[in-house]
Amino acid sequence: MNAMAHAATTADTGTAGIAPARVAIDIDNVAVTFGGSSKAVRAIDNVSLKVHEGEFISLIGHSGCGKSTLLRTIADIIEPSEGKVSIFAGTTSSARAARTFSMVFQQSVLMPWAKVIDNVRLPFEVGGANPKTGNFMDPREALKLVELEGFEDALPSELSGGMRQRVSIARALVTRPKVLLMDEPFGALDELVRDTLNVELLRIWKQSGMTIVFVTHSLQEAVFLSQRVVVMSRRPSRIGGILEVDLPAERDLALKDAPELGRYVARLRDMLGAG
Amino acid sequence: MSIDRSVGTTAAPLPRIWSIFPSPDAARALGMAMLGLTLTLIIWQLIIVLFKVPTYLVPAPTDVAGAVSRDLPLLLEAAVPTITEAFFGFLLGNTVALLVAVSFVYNKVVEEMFYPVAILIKTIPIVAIAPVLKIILGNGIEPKIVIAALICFFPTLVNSVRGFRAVNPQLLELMRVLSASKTEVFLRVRVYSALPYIFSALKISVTMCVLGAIVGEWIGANKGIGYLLLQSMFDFNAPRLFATILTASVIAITGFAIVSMLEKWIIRWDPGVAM
Repeated sequence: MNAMAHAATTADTGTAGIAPARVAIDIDNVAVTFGGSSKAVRAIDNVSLKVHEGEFISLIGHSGCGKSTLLRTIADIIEPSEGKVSIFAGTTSSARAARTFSMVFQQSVLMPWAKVIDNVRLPFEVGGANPKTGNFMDPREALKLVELEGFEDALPSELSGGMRQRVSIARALVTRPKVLLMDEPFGALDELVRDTLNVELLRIWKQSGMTIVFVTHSLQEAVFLSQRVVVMSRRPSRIGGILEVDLPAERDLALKDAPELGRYVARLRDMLGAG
Repeated sequence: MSIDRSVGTTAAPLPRIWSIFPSPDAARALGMAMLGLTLTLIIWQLIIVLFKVPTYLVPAPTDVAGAVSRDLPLLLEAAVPTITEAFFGFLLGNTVALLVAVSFVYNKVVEEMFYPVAILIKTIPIVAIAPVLKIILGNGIEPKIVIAALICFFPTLVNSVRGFRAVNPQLLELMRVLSASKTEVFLRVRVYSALPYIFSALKISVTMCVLGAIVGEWIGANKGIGYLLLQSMFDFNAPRLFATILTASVIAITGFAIVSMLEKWIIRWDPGVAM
């Protein structure tokens, strides 16, 4: 797993360098329209994108631009009105049933009545999941991965916002998904916690070799985390441009203040203005 | 019915097992309430004595206390059938209300058809239905149980419908991503989300069902609190009348306390915290 993640990160240097990796998510000419025919609102239009296995890709855009809608289409929460999304060449609904992907939301979306460990265990216990055949992680191991050992029996209300979000990440990781979909997961947290979780997320990504699709409205966060940043235009949302981030694979917090990161952020800002 | 849960989180959190005992805040509130009650009784006593109100009109607190100690066997004997009727009415009314609420939540058509019927039943005064039930069900315990059940039905129906729907929409999205079935969503999410609402309804209906049982006894009974109230009135035995009222009140308060304790024992999380 490690080797594969490494290959994906180093192969990113060229413009078409990630070609060797398999396509994890194939978004083919997708449009989403909300509402009835009379006052239909087209949220996203004509979006095509290939996300490669092991890639860390961010979706960025103005608020309400449909980046969350696109993520929910990948997650099979919303059905596209036109076009289709494939995950490892299969349908999104079969990928959902097979636990190929996990999703992390802006809020931690924990069950407040259940202990931390029971929240993490939820993916085993519903939807016909079978932990014996599923190659799932021990829930305690998942909590260890997000540095929450010893909090198994706590209730979510006894944790801070950042810790709750870590629990929700553990819940997403416990099924060992190939794809992790994250919808502004650190948007509600303060900056210091966000920085820490950014670094931890990169560590987990490298260890696991997962493909991550990350929605954010923070330009800095997008550049810091991603290999590619997809800029989405205003409604109806299309892909306005894609920025390849050619930063070293090993990224630490110092990079957040580095001038090269600033240059990428400036380019993203230009692209957003044009989009 | 808004749920007010200003849980006393000011002091350091005690181990959860101690939470059924009153916190310092609660102890102070109890002390002040007792003080207020004592003052009210003293003022009442003074008014009766100073204005020489005859005992057969309004008895002094001391007269009521005398009646309680003198008629205690009589009061306890009357309490048994009333408690029985109220208890079974409470069970019946709330069980039916919860089942109807579940059918409303899962079937829009059923709700559209029968919610108006439920409101119609609610608008008919319970004292107007009571004679009808006496004709149908006779002079036994049955009409009293049904009246107590009817009076419980509506608040629980309204609150539990709201409660089953008061689910964090993102939690529903998560359950969809996990391919959870409707039953799993109900048992793992909706029930817990509804519990705080259901308990606030149960606290209303536990006092109402005592009222229902008493009204039932008024229209035809030869035992019970309702019967004793009427008998004391016809006998111009005001001290015993007041002692009987006190007994009814004690029954209702005890029921309320039991439901509140159950609530604290079952709802150990803080429903006010957003996740």
